[in-house]
Amino acid sequence: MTTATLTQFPHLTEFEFIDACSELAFRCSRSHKERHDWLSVEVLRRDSIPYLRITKQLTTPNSTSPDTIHIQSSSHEDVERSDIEISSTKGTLDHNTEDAEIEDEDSEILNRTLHTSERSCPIVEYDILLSPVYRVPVLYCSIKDPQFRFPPTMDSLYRYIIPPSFKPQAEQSGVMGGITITDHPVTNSPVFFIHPCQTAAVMEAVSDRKGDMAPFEYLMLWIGAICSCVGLRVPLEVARSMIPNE
Amino acid sequence: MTPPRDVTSRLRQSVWNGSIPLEIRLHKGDCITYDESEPYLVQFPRLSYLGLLIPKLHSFFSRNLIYPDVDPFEAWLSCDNVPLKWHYPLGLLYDLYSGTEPHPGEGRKEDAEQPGLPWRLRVHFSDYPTEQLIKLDAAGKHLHDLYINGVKEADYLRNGTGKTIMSLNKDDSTQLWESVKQHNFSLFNPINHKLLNPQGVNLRHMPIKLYLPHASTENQKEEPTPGSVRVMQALVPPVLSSRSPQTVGTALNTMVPTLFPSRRIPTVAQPVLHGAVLPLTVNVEDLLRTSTYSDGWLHITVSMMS
Repeated sequence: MTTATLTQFPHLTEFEFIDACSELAFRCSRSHKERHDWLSVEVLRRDSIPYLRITKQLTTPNSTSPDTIHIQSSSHEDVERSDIEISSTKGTLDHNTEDAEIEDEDSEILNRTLHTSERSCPIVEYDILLSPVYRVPVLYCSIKDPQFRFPPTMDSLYRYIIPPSFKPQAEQSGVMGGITITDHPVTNSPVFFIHPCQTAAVMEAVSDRKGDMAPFEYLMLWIGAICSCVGLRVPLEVARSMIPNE
Repeated sequence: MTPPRDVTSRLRQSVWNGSIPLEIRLHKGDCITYDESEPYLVQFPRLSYLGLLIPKLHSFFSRNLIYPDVDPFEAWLSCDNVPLKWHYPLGLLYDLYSGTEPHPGEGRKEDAEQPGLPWRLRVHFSDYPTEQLIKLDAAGKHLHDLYINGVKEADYLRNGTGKTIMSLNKDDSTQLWESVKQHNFSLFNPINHKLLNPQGVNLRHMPIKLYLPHASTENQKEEPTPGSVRVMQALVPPVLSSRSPQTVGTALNTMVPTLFPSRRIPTVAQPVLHGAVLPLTVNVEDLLRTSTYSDGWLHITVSMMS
């Protein structure tokens, strides 16, 4: 069982971080893969740096039809009512705009492309690492494509990674927006990343429970609050398994 | 400018003034003539960024280019086929890739001819290594963004909050970036002074990054690309639990004990900063006040001893 409280909220210790990542990987391993869009979830470690890697298929504008099926989530309302609302699709960096609300409704229909040659398709790789500076999780993401069609550029970022509804929000902060390109801490290759310097403040703002939560709940809250703007959302089924007594 | 009064600011300025002569030639595949074109020669500051040199290289070589209309930000530099990260300060790149022996510090060899100078680099205007290098942009925003992120991180480490950097007003932030672009110490120093001396805050951690040659990785799924390095950082407090000050030796012994088994004498590897071997006994806080790069970090390379 995971520890119930965080010792350094809004920051995470490495122990709590690994605990949270392992819990998410474990829960995903027990979930029904066909009901969500994550291809894999695993805890990795390289050069003594632990990290969580989540992959999903890249949905490009022209990959939505005709070989796409729509899976209508039947559990939407359950999740809405639960106290983990933030970890579902509602959480954003800050307040939802009207547009974002509408987009969110659409995204309840999970797109899943069914290609026979799934392996040659581009995938999005999300790596979650604990920042050694800010002591909060940081999201790095990149598009892996055998044909290298999606280089790590701002153009690829806004065309393929950031959902349209998040564009205005993403462009707001920093020199060139809150999401830019940096070297991955482990591979030292260029990847997209969400600037972590505001994360601790966001975590304090979205939680009224302070440190009174398990590391896994922190991670869910963090993904909901920070990662939707690059298309990473907790599968409803995994989120639902957080609801007590279910 | 009047000479700085104390040792700290004198050292600060010496570090700022460090520079390396560069001889940059156009990559053959981009050159319109069969013979090599004339090289571009420049004495470039160690603390500056190659990304800032790109527009000049583009205009210098444009008459030799096969495709003269190529965008300046298609350009990238290499040393012995290793693409150079243009957002690393030049001094760091030199210490990592020049292959020259670092200056031993104590046993001076002032008169000796400096081998390996000028540092010979290639500039390319095609085949951008997008998997290894961040792509430049016309307005230089990526470089600015990466620089500011580094400054923010260093600030957060020193103070445990991001308040100091946030409290800089717009003019200060603009001046900081301008000082880097123009390599102007009198613009840089007042802002740096504000960042290093926030009111009512104690120094929490040292912004140290270690760059290790990528010899061994635990999980060798992917072949390391040529010249790849492993970048390490850790929370390094200014004072040890024994209350004695953190030295380079105690910090490295904690971060990479296998390479620095002794805290006083280098046996396996030696740390290099600004081209010189760092004595392990140096107080890290002193280094922080005098010898950081302009982003506030101590970018220390590790050179294996033969």
